Amino acid sequence: MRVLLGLVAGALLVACGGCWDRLEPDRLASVIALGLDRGEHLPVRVTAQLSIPRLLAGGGGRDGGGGQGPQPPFDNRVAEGRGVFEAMRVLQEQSSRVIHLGHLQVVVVSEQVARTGLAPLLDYLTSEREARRVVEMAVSSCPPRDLLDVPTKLESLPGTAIAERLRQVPTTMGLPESSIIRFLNALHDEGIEPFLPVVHRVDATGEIVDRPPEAREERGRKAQDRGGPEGGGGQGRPAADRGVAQGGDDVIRVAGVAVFKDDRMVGTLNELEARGLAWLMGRLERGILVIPADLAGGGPALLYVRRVEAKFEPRLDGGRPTMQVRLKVRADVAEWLAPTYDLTTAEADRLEQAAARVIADEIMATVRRLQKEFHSDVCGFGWTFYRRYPRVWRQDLGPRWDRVFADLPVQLQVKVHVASAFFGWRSPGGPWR
Amino acid sequence: MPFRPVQFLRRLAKRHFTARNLPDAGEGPPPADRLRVEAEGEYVPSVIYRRLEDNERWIRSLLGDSSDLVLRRTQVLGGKGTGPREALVCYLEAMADPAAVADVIIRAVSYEAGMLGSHVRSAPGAEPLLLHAGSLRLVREWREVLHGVLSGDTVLFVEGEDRAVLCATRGFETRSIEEPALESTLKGPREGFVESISVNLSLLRRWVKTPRLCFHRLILGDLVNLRVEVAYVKGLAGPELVEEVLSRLRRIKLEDPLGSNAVAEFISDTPLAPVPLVLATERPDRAAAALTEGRVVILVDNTPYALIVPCDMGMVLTSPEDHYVNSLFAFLNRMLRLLSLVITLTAPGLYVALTTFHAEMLPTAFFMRLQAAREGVPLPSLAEAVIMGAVFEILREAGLRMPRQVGQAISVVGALVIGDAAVRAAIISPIMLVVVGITAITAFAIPGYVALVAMWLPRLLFTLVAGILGIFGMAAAVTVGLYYTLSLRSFGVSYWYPYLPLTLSDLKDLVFRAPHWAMVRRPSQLARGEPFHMPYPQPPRPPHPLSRRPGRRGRP
Amino acid sequence: MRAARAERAGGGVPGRGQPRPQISLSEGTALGTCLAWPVAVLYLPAVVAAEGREDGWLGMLLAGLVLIPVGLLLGALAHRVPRLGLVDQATLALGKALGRVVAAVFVLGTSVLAAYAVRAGAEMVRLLMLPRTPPWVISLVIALQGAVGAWFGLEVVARAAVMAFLSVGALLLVLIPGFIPMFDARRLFPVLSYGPGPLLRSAAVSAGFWGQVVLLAMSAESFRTPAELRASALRAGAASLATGWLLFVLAQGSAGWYGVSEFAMPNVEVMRAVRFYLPLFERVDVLVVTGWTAMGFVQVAWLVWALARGVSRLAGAVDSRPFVVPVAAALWGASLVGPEDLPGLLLRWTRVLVPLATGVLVLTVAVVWLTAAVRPPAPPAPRGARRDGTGAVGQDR
Repeated sequence: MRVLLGLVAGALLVACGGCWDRLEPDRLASVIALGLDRGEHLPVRVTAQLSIPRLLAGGGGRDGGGGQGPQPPFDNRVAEGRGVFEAMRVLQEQSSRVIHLGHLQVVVVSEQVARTGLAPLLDYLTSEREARRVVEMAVSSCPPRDLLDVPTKLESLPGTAIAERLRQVPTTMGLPESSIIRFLNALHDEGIEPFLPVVHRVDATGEIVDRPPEAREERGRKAQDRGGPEGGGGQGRPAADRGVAQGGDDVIRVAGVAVFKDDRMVGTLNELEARGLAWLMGRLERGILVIPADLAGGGPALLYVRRVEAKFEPRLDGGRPTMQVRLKVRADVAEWLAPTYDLTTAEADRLEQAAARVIADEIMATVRRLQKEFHSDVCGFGWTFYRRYPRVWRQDLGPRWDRVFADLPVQLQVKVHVASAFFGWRSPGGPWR
Repeated sequence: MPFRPVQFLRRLAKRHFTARNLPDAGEGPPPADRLRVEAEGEYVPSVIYRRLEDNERWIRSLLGDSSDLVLRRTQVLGGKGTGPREALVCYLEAMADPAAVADVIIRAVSYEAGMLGSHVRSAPGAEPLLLHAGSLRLVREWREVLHGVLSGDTVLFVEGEDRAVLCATRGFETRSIEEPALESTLKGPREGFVESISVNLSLLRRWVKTPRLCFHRLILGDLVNLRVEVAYVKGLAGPELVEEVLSRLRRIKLEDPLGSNAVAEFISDTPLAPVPLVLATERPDRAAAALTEGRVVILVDNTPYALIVPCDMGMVLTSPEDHYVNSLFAFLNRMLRLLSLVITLTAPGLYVALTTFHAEMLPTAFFMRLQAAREGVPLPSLAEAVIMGAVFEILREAGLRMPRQVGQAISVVGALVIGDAAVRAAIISPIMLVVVGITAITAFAIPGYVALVAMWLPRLLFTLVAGILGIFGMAAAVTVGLYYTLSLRSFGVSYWYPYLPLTLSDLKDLVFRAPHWAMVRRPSQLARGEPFHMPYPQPPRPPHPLSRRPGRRGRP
Repeated sequence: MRAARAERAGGGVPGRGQPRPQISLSEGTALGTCLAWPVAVLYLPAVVAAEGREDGWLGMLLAGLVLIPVGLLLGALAHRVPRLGLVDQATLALGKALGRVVAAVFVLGTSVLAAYAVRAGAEMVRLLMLPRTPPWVISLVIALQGAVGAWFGLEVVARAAVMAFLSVGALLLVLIPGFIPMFDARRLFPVLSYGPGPLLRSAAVSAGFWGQVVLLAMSAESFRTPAELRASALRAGAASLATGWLLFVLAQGSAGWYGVSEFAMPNVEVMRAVRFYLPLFERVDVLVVTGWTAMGFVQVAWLVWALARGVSRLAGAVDSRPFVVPVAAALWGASLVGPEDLPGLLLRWTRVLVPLATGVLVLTVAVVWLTAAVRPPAPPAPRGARRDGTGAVGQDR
């Protein structure tokens, strides 16, 4: 009994000192999204999107929320500093509530900062106890402040809209999710370089705003190379001729991939090249592959990809490394706009080969660009080399992998298996496997 | 009056020593109010007088001329060759049944002995007795006479005899057997104990019809002479347990134990513990189940609650309903109850800890709503939790005292004022109200009113610690509480008995509720003598189609 | 009532009417796990990954071999000098003076490990849950609850250990599948590409942690038979090693050895990246840390009890209860010593101090056993004869 009393007394004594960590929820300012940019006066400019809970809940559900009411339920604050820590400190000084990163959803980085290096930002985020490791990261083509200001209808906060859109990346683009921990893992692992998706702000007609003009021309050129309508793993399609969703949340678009070397950005892959990367990552499931009419014969065909298996086989032929990539794709025919509706075996074979060629072209384009232009091994070839030949890697290949990768001969073997066709109520007719 | 210190001190000493020398609660009834008798300096005889006048005078002086004392002179038939003799019938009107008394007196004075039952010629000189009045005893000592009269018996003194006849004529009103108020079941029996101990004994005997069921009577308290019966099954309950129970009961020196709770507090190992170490139940089937497990049941007069020792946590969390429903439902219900116990103890603390210390743990959408809900609320979460908890306890207490007519209005007032209006005025946040409501409901889900009342202190402590140090503090407080409850023992059996120390065979009744055909063993700690109540599990099986002998069940 | 209270205080030294505490096999296993697992699973992965690089997981597995002789040693010593705790065993085997010295060495080693445990736990709580709270408050809470547990006695602590063991086990069962999406087994390989050095170094450090099971020697008298003590120690070692190793493998598979070595508490870090699509909690690491602290609390409580016992037996006292509060206070003070920052703690203490202390403990036990084997001591006087306490009814088995 006395022990109990002693305990209670001790506890009360401790409590007299005050509760050091107690923070009422209404004394917190939650940061939903962070944007990092190069500042005008100081090197780092941080844009923090703070949520205003009073306006969020009072709106009665989703309708009143997103910026349509008299006052949007968020506040984008900007602070500059010599480093991320200092900028955040300045931000706190300007705020009446305690800045709380526990509900941070997304961090958007401008290209300039990405090219300088993301290490300080990562350092800040990982040493902060509150931030979750599954915070999404992206590179933005426009200044982050503009990105965080987009009007959204479905979501109440732009930051949430961007974060949710980024979370769809595995489904739509076929790439792994872009969280902090994945970036860190890619950074640490030997023989693989990290990448991040690129977020664009899009205006009402579907044009990406604030893109450098030469990039736009380049993409248009690439579209002509392919000829015909191109498929994208979702919404990434060139602006030329395609269905555009007007209004809605299509004010942000995730298209393309920023390639890094260590923690510095070295370039961007456009949507098609990103798809090539996705093939290699082996996750492009539920994507759509369009085969142009000349290859498919008859009319263009749309294939629905079911499963992708990618195998990397590194080889050392007498000290010279080569990489053999085998890809097995299983797809179904979703649409075939050909005059004849019967898909015979021969036609199916032809479709398969056409598909294989299309895929191979995409992949090789990506790999070539990565090799020649960026010298950055995003696909992880070096990683497999390390796993397979650790001694050689450690002594020889690893230290000079950039150069080795640039000249690495890559043999690609793509096998597509068209399993079935969706013909609806019509019977397939003809011999079918 | 001059102050005489020596006399004063002597009188004090006498009183002190007199109190000290009170006999322990023994097997028989001590004389009523011995203190007063001693103080008057009169000699307390131990046996009855032979002369009726002496007996009459002595009874009048002992029972203090109370208005319900009835003394009747009459005559009884003498033996062969002797004439009728004077007799004195004495009873307390408040306690004895007048019809039965009339029987005794009428029969006693009737001369037609042949029509009225057998004569008993017990000793030379003893009068023929008529065994018409239930139980009949011959007594010599005043203690027994007094106890009998005070319990409602009628005493018959005969001139010249040194023994009196005590006839059982109890006829006071007692409540009829009703459904227990707090422990009702849907599918089980609806009988509950009543205040009269003889009725309770009969209820127990109906459930456990074995000659090995023993009742051991004790009378406690000089002032109230409370009758206590200790029931156990000989050979099944450990003899050390029975001995310990009896010795603890005998040690009680309280003059006026009133009711089972007083007795329970005396015999409990740790009466101040927030959990009951002696279980009080209103249901005879629960008491009977305890008896067959090897526990000891204590019945106390004037209280409809039977005490079961030893009590462990499994018993507290078990509702008798479990044995009358499907075993799967029973298992799920038990899990629910355990969950309710955990929730009711930790909910406010968890809420306070999570929202004020670990805001990043909550889902973002919920957290935003929480922030919005707390806008403008003046109190910190901890104060809110404590105040709302106190308000709920006050409401509960008030609800107990309320007459039924007023009850509706008050509950509406409670809901409106405290709930709705306070939330609208932003004095408390609505989420806090939800948490308090959940806490209250889960507290009611635990069987046994005792647990409900006892939970608020640990809950308060946990909340306070959680408000100071977050979840870590709460974990520390819960651990300390765990240490404390782990150290509790009820009559040598650890309070967490079947869970820890881990006895897997006993868990089958306390975690799962194994189907009745599978419960082969009795709880190992209790039923020392006889560990099995079934030779082997006997799951119901259809008769094997090829067997000639129909229904050969069980293991071959 | 007093009799009942005395019976309740079953954790004291036998004597003065108090029955000797008794621990069953399952309680002993849980206790042993609580002694080795909590701190090891927090800080050990970082050190092992730094020392062993990719071979860390193999090194940890190799360290399991060390646990076998430790368990056997405990059982053998209990067989030679039965029914006594380590201090008494040493005194009996080596004579009063030398025995006391050896026992004092053991107690010293235990106190080092205890102070480390309290400090490590406090650092973890401070970093992960309560960053602004002064560390002395957290250490105080840990030491206080340890004092309460030790006050109530060994049986209470052992039962609490069983509860902690079961709840943490259940927690892990639920949470481990969350690692799987991030797990890539290729990060565990290649193996032995640096030669045997990293493997052995990581094994040595791991052995220093998992070997803390040897602390069970302090409560050797509470086991019914030496075989049970041995079985408890072996099982506890196996359980803690298995779960600790599994967590390490998952961490290394999810973050690579470099990632693991970067963080101070890698398991928690990786768990932060687990995305649990449960609507109730988004960051499960606080829950997990709370579960961990459950075992850590029991560990500290037992250590306080063991130190109180050891000190009281060294001083020749019969009842160890009065020593509980001073020991807890001393432990609290000792845990405040040292660098304030976690990396310093990690580098200086974890890598060196803990394996050293554990090695010293094992050595001590081995010495006592050897002496007892070579020169069997006379059977001890039945000072600690088991009696059913007055007023107690029945015993747990």
